[in-house]
Amino acid sequence: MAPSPSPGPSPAPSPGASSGTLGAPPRFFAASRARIFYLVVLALLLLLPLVSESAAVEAVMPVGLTGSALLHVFVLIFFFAFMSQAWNIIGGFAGQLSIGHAAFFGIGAYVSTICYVHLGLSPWIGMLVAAAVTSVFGAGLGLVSFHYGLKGPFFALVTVAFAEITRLVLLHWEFVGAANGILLPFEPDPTFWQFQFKGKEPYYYIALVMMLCSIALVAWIARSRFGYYLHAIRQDEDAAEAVGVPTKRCKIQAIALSAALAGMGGTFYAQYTQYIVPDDMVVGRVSVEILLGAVIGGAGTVMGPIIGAFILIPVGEATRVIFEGGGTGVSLSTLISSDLGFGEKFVAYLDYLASGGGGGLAVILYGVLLMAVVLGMPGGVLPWLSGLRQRLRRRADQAGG
Amino acid sequence: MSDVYLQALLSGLMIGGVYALVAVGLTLIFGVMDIINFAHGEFLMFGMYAAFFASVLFGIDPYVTAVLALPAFFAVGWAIQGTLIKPVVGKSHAIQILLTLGLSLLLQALAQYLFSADFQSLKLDYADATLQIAGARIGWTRVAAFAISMGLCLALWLFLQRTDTGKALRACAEEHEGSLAVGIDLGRMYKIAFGLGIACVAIAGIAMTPFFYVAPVVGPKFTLVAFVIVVLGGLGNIPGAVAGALIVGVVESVGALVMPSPSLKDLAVYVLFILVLLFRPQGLFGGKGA
Repeated sequence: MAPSPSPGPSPAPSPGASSGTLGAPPRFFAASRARIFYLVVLALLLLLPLVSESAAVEAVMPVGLTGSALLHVFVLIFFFAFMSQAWNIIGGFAGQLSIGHAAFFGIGAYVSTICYVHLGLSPWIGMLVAAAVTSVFGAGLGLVSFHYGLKGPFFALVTVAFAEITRLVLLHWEFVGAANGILLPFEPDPTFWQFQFKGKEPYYYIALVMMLCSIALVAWIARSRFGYYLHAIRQDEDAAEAVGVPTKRCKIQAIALSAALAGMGGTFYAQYTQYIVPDDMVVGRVSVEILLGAVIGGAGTVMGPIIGAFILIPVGEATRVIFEGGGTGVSLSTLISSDLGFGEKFVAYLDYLASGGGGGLAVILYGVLLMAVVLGMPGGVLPWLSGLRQRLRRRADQAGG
Repeated sequence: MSDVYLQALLSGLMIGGVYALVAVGLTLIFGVMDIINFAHGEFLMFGMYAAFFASVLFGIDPYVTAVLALPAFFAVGWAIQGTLIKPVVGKSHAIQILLTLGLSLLLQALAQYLFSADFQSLKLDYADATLQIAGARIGWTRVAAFAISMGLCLALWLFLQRTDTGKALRACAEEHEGSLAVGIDLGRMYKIAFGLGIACVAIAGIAMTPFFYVAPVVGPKFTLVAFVIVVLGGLGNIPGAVAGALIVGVVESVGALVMPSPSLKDLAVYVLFILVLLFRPQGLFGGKGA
């Protein structure tokens, strides 16, 4: 597939997005069709909490997936879309593969939570403090890495090492609860200012707004001089440098911005789950999950991470519900040390696997999806779709002419 | 006081030997194919599970499993290279990293599904036997792991130096077009390199099973440590990797003494890693360079 030079399909239905100059009529119609599609989806998402317990939703959705359970899935989608979009700025647009974004996510969560628990600072302010702190960490990491010319796999390795260092520090720092993490104080009658809510609806709208803001920001970047600089860096850094793109500065700005957003995502996560702990947050699995949405949807495109999250999270949640429901209740260790004969053990083991084994099926699927996308549609789903449309049109043209 | 440090030095060298075998597998794959295998540690984990289940289910000693596993994991590596990795050879590093990351994610989750997330460990009757050197005590199983790893590293090095296949592999690492021109089957060389790399790391895992726990999550730590070593020793440089591994092993175990908490020992390794990447990207002993 030829690398498409456009910074992605039509921009998000964001307030600032103007139609721009789109040239030939067919492209204009295609772009406006995509925009109408996104607007319709947005309208449905805005209305969803109002009807999440209605008979219509109950009729369409699987049993149990209504009301707050349904909203929870969407909160996860918006949240992962937001985190993936944050990653997209450095990993997609600038083409610098970070496999350590869990570090910024974790630092953000800890900063706002410490501000709240120790200083009584509202998490809304804490979120901004978190963004400031993580952007400093991001800029520092970028400054060191890019000053010494680390590229490709070596930058990726430094981000992995940075995340591991962050995890180890959090894990041994008594002030932040070390391995136990921090349980946020429960407010029986929370106010808006405390960023705690009784129902899921407020979280739903906050996550939705965060996702929309991230789309608007990235759509703006894609059309800005900064965005074109990043694009040039991704295509060929040496050539970009040669024509006068300030590559180092742009990359540092990109990682600082990306880290700031990831830190804000950390604050949201802390407020939503009310519990933060290093071994759940700052681990390689989370770093990979953050980049997964963007890579699958289309890294370096405006809507790619969003599409990716809308594919991944439902697939993952469905797998969890369908295959990891019951379990035989037998642990593998008990099974191994039991007195059964080998044949009986084997049958019992098959039972164990059939009822979901030790879990992890959703992640197996994520791994398969990631490899399938890398091998089959290296740019991601969205560029693949637009390429498909072009191929179909060309074929139609050839048939007609 | 010297006893404590002697103890740390010796146990660092022992574990460093195992790291060497892990890193040699990684550097061989990198040297020949220019691919960084982020799923490397997962094969170590599967090696450990092979040894664990062979022992608890069939009573096969881990050292016997190691011998049986060599051809088995070579075949696994060969097959994975032939199917999954082959399409991304020569593509951008980002594509390669994402593919092996996907493989790593898949293998970890597969292990969790098949073997559960529980931590397992083997209980062998000879596991507590120790060797006394001056004031230090070293478990015999650790000495054995060191000896096996060093022996295999040496064997691999001799294979690369002395045999025709080994020379062809080194030629691939030097120059792809040139190797093609003199009639070397690159595809076959890649499969051999990946097979050997995977066999090395799996054997390292098996050699550790008598004294190390097994869980689906053990892999990434070893992948990262292997990267540290490979960068330290110079990319594609096998003797460099062995020396780097011994250094990392010692830094880690002395770090455990010096740091406020023993589990912070890895911090020393990662800091060393970042320093080397920044200030001496060609490694301490020379190599392809970052």
